Amino acid sequence: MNTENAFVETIKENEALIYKVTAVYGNDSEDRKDLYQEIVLQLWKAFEKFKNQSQISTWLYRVALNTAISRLRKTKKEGQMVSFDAGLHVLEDSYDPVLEQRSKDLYQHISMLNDIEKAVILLFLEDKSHQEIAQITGLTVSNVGTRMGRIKEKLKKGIAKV
Amino acid sequence: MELEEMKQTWQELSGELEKQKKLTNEIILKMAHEKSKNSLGKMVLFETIGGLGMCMALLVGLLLNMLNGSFQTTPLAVCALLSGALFIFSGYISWDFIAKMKKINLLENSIEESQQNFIALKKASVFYKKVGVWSSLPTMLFFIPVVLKVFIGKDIFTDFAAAKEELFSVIGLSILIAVPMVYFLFRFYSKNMKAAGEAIEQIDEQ
Repeated sequence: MNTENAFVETIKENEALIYKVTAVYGNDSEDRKDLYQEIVLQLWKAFEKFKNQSQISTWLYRVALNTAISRLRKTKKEGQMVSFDAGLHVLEDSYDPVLEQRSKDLYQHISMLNDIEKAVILLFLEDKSHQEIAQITGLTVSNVGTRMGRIKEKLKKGIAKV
Repeated sequence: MELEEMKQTWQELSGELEKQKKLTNEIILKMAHEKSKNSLGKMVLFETIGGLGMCMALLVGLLLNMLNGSFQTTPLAVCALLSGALFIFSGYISWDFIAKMKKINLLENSIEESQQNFIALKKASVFYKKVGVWSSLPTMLFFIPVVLKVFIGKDIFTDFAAAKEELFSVIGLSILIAVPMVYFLFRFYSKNMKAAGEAIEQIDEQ
């Protein structure tokens, strides 16, 4: 399999993962599409460097989260975003209304967190262990534990506000 | 919403997302390709209008004046011919640069081809930048007498004293226009080359 085919297959297999990162870090539908493209671009750039030194999902999370966080910081600094239209029409269909409402609540809660905490909670929700979260984010295991504690606190306070 | 409840919702959403896979090979490669295309597209447009188009327009203007017999003295005719040669050369440079930019296409080419094409573009960019700097002085030397003849009707080779004032004005004006223009052009190309390079950085580094 050549590099392009391998890349396309990797993205296809993990498109939901990328979408979840964009859902957590994107402001609106357009922003999510822009971020999705940016992540795919960064994955493409890094794909040949990735020589199975780590698990593919670990690598994907790392690149996707780093891209999302750097982009968010850059956007905050520059105060603007570039629009993108490459014919991406993905995963925007609505699910059942109950699940849709719950997902809105979920993202509303996540939106109360800062950039790094969003990454930590995303990985926690993806059922990653503290060890794996540390590996992906570059935090220490104890730091992940501390941050999870803070996240719980924030969410509790947030729940009171909501 | 407690963490466990969040996790449950997240997993249900994940399940839904897995069912809805919609990306095609083409869309994925398009996304990877889009940024380099945007940056290169700007340069192609700019080079087509500002480079190739400008050279062609100047060449046509020069030829029309030659046919009208505007350059009757030998030195002026030589200046006109050399200016024409420089416009043809500059036009060729623009055309070659455009062709090299258009060659970079992550969708159609293999990674190796894209890598080679980008390296060729970078080399050409550096070389043409040097050519541009070094050819600016001879261009001025040959082209200014032509400009003075065409626009003011004075031949500096037959009556230098009468054309002296205009000659210095044109030189001054050329410098005033050329310096910020060169600065702007260098910045424009550096910025877009950098953006295109970032998009295919991996290819470039291999």
